[in-house]
Amino acid sequence: MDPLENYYRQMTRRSFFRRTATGIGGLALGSLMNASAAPASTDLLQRGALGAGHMAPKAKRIIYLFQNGAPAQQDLFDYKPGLIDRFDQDLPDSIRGEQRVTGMTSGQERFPIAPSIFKFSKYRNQMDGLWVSELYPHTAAMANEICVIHTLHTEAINHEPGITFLQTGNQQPGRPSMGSWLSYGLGRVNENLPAFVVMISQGFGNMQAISNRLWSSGFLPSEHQGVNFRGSGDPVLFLSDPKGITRADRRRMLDAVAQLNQQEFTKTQDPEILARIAQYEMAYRMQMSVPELTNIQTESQETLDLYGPAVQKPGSFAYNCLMARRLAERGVRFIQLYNRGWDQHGNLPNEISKQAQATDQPQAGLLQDLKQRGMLDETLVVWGGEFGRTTYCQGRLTKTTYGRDHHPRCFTVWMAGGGVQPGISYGKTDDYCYNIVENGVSVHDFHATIMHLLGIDHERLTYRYQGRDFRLTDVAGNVITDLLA
Amino acid sequence: MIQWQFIGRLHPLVLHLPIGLVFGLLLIEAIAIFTPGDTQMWQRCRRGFAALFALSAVAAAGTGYLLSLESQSTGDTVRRHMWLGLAVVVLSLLLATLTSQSQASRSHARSFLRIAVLLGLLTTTSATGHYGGQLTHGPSFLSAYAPTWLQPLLGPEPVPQEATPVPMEPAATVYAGVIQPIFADHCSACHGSDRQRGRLALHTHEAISAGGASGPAMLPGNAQESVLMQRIRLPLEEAGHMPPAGKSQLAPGEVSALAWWIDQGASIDATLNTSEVPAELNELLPETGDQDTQTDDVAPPVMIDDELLQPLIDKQISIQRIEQTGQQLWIAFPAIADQVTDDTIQELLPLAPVIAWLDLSNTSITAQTLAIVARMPALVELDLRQTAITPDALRHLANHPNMERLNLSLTEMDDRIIETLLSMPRLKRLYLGGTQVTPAAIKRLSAPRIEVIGAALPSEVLEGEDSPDVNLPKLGG
Repeated sequence: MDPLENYYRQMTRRSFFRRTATGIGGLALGSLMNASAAPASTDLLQRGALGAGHMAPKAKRIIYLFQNGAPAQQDLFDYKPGLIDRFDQDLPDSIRGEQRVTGMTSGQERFPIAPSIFKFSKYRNQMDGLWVSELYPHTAAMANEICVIHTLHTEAINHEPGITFLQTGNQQPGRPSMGSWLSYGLGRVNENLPAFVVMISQGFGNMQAISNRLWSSGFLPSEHQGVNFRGSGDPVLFLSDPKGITRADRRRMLDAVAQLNQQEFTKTQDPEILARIAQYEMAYRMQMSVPELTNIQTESQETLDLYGPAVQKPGSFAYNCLMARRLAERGVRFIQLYNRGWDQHGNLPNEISKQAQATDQPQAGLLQDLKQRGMLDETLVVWGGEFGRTTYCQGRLTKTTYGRDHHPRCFTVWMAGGGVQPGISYGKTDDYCYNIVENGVSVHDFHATIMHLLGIDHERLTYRYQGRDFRLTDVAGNVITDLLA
Repeated sequence: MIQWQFIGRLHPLVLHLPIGLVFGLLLIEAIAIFTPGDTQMWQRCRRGFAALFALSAVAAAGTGYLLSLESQSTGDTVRRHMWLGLAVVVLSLLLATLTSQSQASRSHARSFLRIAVLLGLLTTTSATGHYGGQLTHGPSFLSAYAPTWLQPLLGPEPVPQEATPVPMEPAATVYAGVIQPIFADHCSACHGSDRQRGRLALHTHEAISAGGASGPAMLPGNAQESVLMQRIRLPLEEAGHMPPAGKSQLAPGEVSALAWWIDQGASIDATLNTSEVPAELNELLPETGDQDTQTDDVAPPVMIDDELLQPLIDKQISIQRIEQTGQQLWIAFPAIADQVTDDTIQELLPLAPVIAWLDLSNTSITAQTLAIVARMPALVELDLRQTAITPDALRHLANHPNMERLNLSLTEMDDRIIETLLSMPRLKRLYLGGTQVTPAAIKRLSAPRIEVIGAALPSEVLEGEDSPDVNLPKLGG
């Protein structure tokens, strides 16, 4: 045999055994000692590579409302009244320090401060109140439920590495996304739907590209990648059978294809074949489950009203929020929404108003809906972008308009439900909303905390690849216990 | 320079010669009887072969002795093998003497003696070989597959191929339950009651502690420096690795278990309850519930059978553990919610001792299911969201001993359920969003220990630059 082909076969055989080895967790010692005895009955109860979480989960699932483009924290959640008097003054060098600026603003001669033109109000929460701007009244009304973190920070300065970092724990692409880790570690609850679903809504401001690399499974088996439900038309392309083909026909076809795939598998032991067989099966099951899922006419009018009028429009953020709740009810573990359009380098007040209007009521409605159904305690909701925006103005600063550039040093995210301490704000930024003064949260800490809420010790969900054990939090990350209920 | 160990290791090679020659000599005797002529030729054959036989017997015994020095084996089988081997040597020398003298005439007495010695040699050689085989392959090598009437003659009771699973009591000692079986499976063939290579035995705690020819096998409290662990952890290719390559190797979990046991002090009577088991090893130990308490009345772990689970899983019921090391189950029906009826829940009853979280949301269950749920005392969390149960039906759950979280959102519940709820001693969280339960009733429930969660109350504005114009969402009702 050709030595190269032999090597290739050996590689996949090794990877096959490696993967099955990680699946043989949790055997009772009794069966360990009696290797010839029947396998322990615990095998049937195992879900995913871990079998079950390392500890009982507080959150059974997570809905991640990812705000793509980076929402400006000064205009939404981080209230800095002192900046109003500093309109058009230069940002002091001591504050800016050695910060890397993007190519867009490096050419600027001045860095004038642009205070937010929006009015802020203080809402009652479990601490001494939460300041939220007029852009987010509905969300602010949920101040008692949300835990706002003002001090998330990242190292990425641009969107692609920034989002990749937030989704996979590393700025360079190639690693599995959070949802894939969860799917791999904990498996599915509902066999008829994927464990990891992604829905994208278009925005009203400057939009940045996102690609399906952001929900890829990286080096994990590819059945753990996110499944993107489309905004309009069929949620999944070519899911329904063409005219003239019955479901029984489809079943026979799939069985035949599976047989062929099995033959190939016995020959080459390529684990990707197994992943492909699994995905064909999933698609078959989704033919039944997805049409039922997307039929929102079964919802009561009161529920639909919670999300606002846009809920009737498939592909809108409101519709996706309602879908998220329905997916949560049906046992999907990781539901990720990408809402685009927050990248306001210029014309910020105008664009962000539209962005806010499209997102405010739906996200508050989602929290309301979950709370009312008693699901909020076991569902973790996360809101945030990939980094923050600069306090100094990008482009021309006037009394009515300004722009903000990317800012990695501090940005705001919030979480709700799922074992998070409700009604608190965590972390303080300085008066210029530029640097972190107290309680910074790195992206790895963020991931570690989320994993903890889902019942996983982030240091113990690993995968051996390229000779070392990888994990979502790579080699860092601490669970932030102050955020836990 | 040739090392003596090399000479000793030639024993397995050299010993085949005398064995073959015994049969050769017997064959010569047999043929000689039927060919009365050629006595001279036969006499020369006998002489030659007998001399060769004696030489090879001495060589085999000699190499055997050197080999025993190297492996420092002791034990009954070794002793028997040695003495029988020596008997072979003695008899072979006798035979050589008998055949060396030329026979002028055929002396019947001499022939008779010669054949008697030969038969004696046949017996002793076979016996020596048999014990030698036992030394190499284990005491039950020949008897394992022998016909049952022959077994008692060929060796001790064979080890049963399918041992019954060791029943794990919560109070079982770590040594008896975990460590001793490891040694029995992988080590006792060479380091057991029959044979002690290197003068080391590992079949009793005493023997393990005593150690062997090169000193103590383990240092209680220090697995890292214990020779036992060092040898086990050597790469398989290394000469000193134990068990020897080709024999059944320890699984990684067993290695960890041994190391942990040694680090904990290698005690003979520490129990699973009192020892602190590290998290990675929890996978190896059987579930015994709470391992921190030293209660004697911990219920033995419930063994859930595949036969019980498989039909449920085939129906697409989601049954999974709540956490890795626990026995408790989380059961939900997201894939088949609309097909779930009371009968489906009835089928879960055998699992009742371990069902902790049960999610019946959006199913078509009725009061009958609640009667069934009442027979699940281990239940901690019950989700009845959006089911058609009536307030009356909830009475089945009165006095439920462990219920902590109950979700009744979007059901027809009203104030009639208060007494039932108050009767649950451990109820902590109650979800009543979208029900008809009145605020007054909620007030009664809330004091002292139950948290009632309904719709989210909008947060009011405390101060602001301008009160924003807010359309607050409707309150739950």
